[in-house]
Amino acid sequence: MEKLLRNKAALALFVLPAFIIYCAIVLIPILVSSWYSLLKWDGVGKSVFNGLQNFVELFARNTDGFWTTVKNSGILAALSVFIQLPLAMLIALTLAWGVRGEQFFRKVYFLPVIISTVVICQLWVQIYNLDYGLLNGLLRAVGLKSWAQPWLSQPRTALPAVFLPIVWQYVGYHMLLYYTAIKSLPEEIFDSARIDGANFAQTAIRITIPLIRAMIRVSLIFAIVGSFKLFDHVYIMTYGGPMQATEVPSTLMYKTIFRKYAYGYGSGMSVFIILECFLFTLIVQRGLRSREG
Amino acid sequence: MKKMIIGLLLVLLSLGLVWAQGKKVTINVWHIWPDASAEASYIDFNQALDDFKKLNPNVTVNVDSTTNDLYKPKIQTALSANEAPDVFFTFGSAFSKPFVDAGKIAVLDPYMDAAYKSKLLAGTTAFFTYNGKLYGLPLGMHTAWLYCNRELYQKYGIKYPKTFDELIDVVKAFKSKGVVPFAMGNKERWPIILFYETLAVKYAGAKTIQAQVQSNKLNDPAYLKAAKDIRRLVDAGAFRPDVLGVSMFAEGFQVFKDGQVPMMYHGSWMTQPMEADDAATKGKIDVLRFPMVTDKSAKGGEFDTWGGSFSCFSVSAKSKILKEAVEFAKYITFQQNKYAYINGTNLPCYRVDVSPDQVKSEINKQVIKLMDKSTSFTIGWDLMLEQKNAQEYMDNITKLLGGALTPEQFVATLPK
Repeated sequence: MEKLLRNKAALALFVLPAFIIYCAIVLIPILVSSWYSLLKWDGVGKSVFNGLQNFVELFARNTDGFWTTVKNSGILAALSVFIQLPLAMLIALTLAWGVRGEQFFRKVYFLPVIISTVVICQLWVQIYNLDYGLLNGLLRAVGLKSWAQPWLSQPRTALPAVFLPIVWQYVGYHMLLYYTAIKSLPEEIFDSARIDGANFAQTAIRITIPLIRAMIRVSLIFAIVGSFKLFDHVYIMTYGGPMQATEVPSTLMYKTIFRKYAYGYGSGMSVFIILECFLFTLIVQRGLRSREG
Repeated sequence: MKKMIIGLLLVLLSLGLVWAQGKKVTINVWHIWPDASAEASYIDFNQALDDFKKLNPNVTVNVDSTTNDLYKPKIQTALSANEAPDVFFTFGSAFSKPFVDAGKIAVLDPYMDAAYKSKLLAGTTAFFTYNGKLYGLPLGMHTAWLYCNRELYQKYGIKYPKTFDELIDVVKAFKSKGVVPFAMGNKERWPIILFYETLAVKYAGAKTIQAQVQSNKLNDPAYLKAAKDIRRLVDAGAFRPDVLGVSMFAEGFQVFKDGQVPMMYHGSWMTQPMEADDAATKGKIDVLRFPMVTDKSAKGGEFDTWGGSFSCFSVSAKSKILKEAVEFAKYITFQQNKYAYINGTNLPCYRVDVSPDQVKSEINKQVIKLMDKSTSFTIGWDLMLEQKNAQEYMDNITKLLGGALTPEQFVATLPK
């Protein structure tokens, strides 16, 4: 076995299938999209090479509100990083510290992650309903009748109303990442911390969090990149409305390509999303690595 | 080894037998009616398909259906990738134009015999005809009407409106009783265009509007007048407060079907559920034309009607069984038009030899009379405008509805 592993040719051979698949479904589509973004093309007929015109339109002469969509996805990324992840961390630390019904709570918090997004979104659409929705019903019941409103139908409230379920749904996901990372740490560390008289907060801040930094990095990347790529929740709950208030880059790209037949220009947006995700992945990796040293 | 060779020979032999029979044909079909409860056309199509299967036992038909919104990108992608099914649902005018230009959709003229042509009603294929060639077979006349719940009008002692000004009064009257006047949801962004386009045609006349929209040059004074009327409707309280976030096909329509809301101005594709056994509106619907505007300089008439024939079955130019696919499309389209007429889904684009007595739908009987009086038909502008302009038009008219654009600002966004 060891001999086999030392054989570079054999290694290459075994890696090859995965590499081919990776190229076919990740690298090549990215390259093809990048090429399309340089074309003026309706997606079907003849394409014309257009240089960087699509990007000029996207960045300099933008009229379709692309930057508002980027801002919206930025808000979601911020919400994820500053609300979702700390919440997930708090739950993970508490569960791992040892509470009664640890297994039960772990499953409950993870449940929203495995339920289909469509189901989650329909559920929240009902919760926000003006007449019979749970949220407005609750507000009326506690005497806050004037607060009841069509949450998803007003530009002012629609964006937070769409983002809340997303933040809520994936808390469990990040919680599980942290929880498993904590559980894989050696028991002895916590035992000795306890013997030394460290309380929950001290253990968490001085021991647990520094030791699972690698996992925090992963979950940060997932949260940020996931926010930039967001599509399904917006598409189902509001279709980017009302009046484009909840539009995010992916839904705008979808409408540009498939509804406006602007394939080249839409590909320009996809290139931007890829680069944006790539850039933030690098930043997170650099940022957390430097502190390790 | 010997056994394997014999086995292989047997397989080859059986394959040869199938080949020799030679008649087995498989036709792949895509459409947009995945379930009976939401789409009345589901039933019409399946009745037509059953007829076809009885006549053609050696033809296998594989049907795949997707809801309207998801279907559009799906068929666009499949056509561009040369992977479209043999026969598929599509929309006419600007929607299919890129595919016609790229040679992805089959020209049907060579397969149209005189007998079949004579069954098609005049003008119903206009939006599937490009450069004088026919690319699609029409699935029905879809028109918009003002559906009124007689019971609610009587309950509150309100009379049907004859003019747009009277409609505003009716809206205010219902509103003052705490009733939302119109069943409406604009999450899809297009239900409001029915109101707007109908009004614009009444001001400028169908000819002017059709010519301007098709050339993407919208500069008649009618556009501003109609936009102001939309604001009058909104300001009078015609629509529910959450209209921007509600789907026309879910809660938007449900309140009408449940008998809570007295009016709906929408396409005839929504009428079947109003007459369903569980509908509070069953037997209580009066169908009216949209009230005429009171402007003296208006060039349109009160029976200039929104709608027409804009969806069709087309055949992929890359189909390996082109002839069989076209024959299937011809048969199924005719039958579906017939059943749609009988079942009350919409009105036919063919001479279907069905007497009006056979029509089950009370609503459709009223619609037939109104269609006879109609002086023109104008289909949705989102289908006539270039797709880029169409999308921006729907975004902006939603902003007009929501109050983010004034009528003047809205008109400034129209393609000139």
